Amino acid sequence: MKESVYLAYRYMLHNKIKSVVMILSLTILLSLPFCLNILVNKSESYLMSRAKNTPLIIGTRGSSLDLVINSLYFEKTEIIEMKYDEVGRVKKSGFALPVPLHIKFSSNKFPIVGTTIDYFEFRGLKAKSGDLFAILGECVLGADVANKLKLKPGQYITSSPETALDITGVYPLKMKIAGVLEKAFTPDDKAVFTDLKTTWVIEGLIHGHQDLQRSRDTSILLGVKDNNYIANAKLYNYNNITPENIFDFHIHGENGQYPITSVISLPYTEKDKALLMGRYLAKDDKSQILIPRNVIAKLIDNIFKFKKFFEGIFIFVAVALLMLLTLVITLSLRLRSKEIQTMFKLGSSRFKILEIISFELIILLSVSVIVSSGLIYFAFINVDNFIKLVVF
Amino acid sequence: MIIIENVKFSYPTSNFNFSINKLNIADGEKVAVTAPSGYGKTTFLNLISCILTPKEGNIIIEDEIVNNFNDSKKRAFRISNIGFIFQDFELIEYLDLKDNIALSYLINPALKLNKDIEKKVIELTERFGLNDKLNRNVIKLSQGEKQRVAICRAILSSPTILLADEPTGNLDPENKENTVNELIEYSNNNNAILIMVTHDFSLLEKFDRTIDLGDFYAN
Repeated sequence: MKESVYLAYRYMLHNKIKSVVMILSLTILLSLPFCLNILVNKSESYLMSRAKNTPLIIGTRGSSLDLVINSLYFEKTEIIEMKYDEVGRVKKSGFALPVPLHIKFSSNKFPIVGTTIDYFEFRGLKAKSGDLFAILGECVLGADVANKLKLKPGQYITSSPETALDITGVYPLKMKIAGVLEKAFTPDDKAVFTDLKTTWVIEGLIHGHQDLQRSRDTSILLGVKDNNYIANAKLYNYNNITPENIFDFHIHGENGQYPITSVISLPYTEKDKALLMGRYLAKDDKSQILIPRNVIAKLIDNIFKFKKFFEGIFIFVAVALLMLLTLVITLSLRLRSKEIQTMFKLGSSRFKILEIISFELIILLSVSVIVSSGLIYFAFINVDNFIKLVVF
Repeated sequence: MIIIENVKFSYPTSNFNFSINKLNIADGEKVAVTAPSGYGKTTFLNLISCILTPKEGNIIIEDEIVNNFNDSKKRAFRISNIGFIFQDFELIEYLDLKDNIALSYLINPALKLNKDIEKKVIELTERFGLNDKLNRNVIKLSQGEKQRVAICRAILSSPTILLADEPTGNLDPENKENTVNELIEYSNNNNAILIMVTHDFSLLEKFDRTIDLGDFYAN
């Protein structure tokens, strides 16, 4: 038998390229389903872990998936804004701590998340350098944002205009970086956090401009009506907030009427959770309350339906690949017919020839299984890093 | 000694018929086999080596009717008693020179590869001037060297019968002469039967006898 193994080995060594191609093909065939399974399962657990850690999300009625994706992963989705009053409604119920989110703007393609300091405590986020934002116009960068844009506390980051042609819309706001967060391997790493009011500044709802009463340029003033000064377009609006002009920023109107995108609600007890959810059962309520875990589970169910579909396709691909390998082996045997005939003439049995060819296949398969096992093990121990690298 | 008695053979899918009523070849005899193409020269060698089985008659070698052996015994008989040399050498291209010589020991458990055989391989390569190319792939050898490797492979197991199927067909005159001389020398030294199919009439004088298969019934 060892002679057959030796002959098989010599054949494979002589036909290196063919052997390597066959080993690679078999390795892909054997390892790909396992590696994909590991990746999908791990991705699922990552998706779910953030959803599981977020008890309730309140938003305007509409797509529950859009609302949850926007609130958990800061992805820009088509959600209808709600009024800040909703925060007061949750607070007033006494069942949960509301953490408002206003996720509408971006800076250098990173989402700007308007929220409150409670968000950092809720997510367990700490500043690696500098501090959390304290005053209007300050922001905190996620670890990846700071790393990619090479920014540090004390420097500035500017919000991006919503559209390049929207000259009457959102003005870019230059925000001072108060701190940079520790790496969390979550979407928080790829976000710019700022105070809710700062996002309202970006939106132009809170603004700052030169004081009309103190201005010496009388050409700015159009007139006075009901004790209100009316200015023309010459009035200078601030595009960044400094200690000198911070007190010139002001709101026109009520806080409660200003927009937010959702409210993360942190119930104090399970009972509070149930009671708070009960408050949103009315069909005419413009708001909806969601358990993110359920929404993401439904999404994953759908993904798994696709996974099964792809698994079905993979079976077809595998069959096609196996047929190709069979063809390669058959053609190879045809090419080797003279060699086989010589061995037979010299005194080899057909069984011995079959044994030699079988050992070639066994060696190919064994090497493929070993390489596949290595790949699967590699995928298993590195899947966390891979997901963190690619997704977060 | 080889005795062929009333042997008839035909292939199932052709109308080729091969027939020998009586033919004796003595131990140590060197026989050249000639015949026009299609007269069954290769069939003749394959019948003696038990690759083909006659439909009728007997082939008796060393007092045994070899055509009655079962397949396994035929193979063991062939690998132990017969040395084959082919026109196009039929070396295994993925093996080096020494593995090609020892091939019979790698493909049939009837022959055991051991230190003595390995030593004999070295001795043969020294005798045939191949000892500096032991680990060389046979693809890289010249035609003459390839035929010498084929002869070494055929005689390694000290067979009592050498069957050569036009072994000089692809060789230049010098290598042709050397090849025939080596085969005849082996036959002389080991009292082995040498049956060589050839179209080269210039070589016939080196043999004890020439058999023209055309003299037997063949059509």
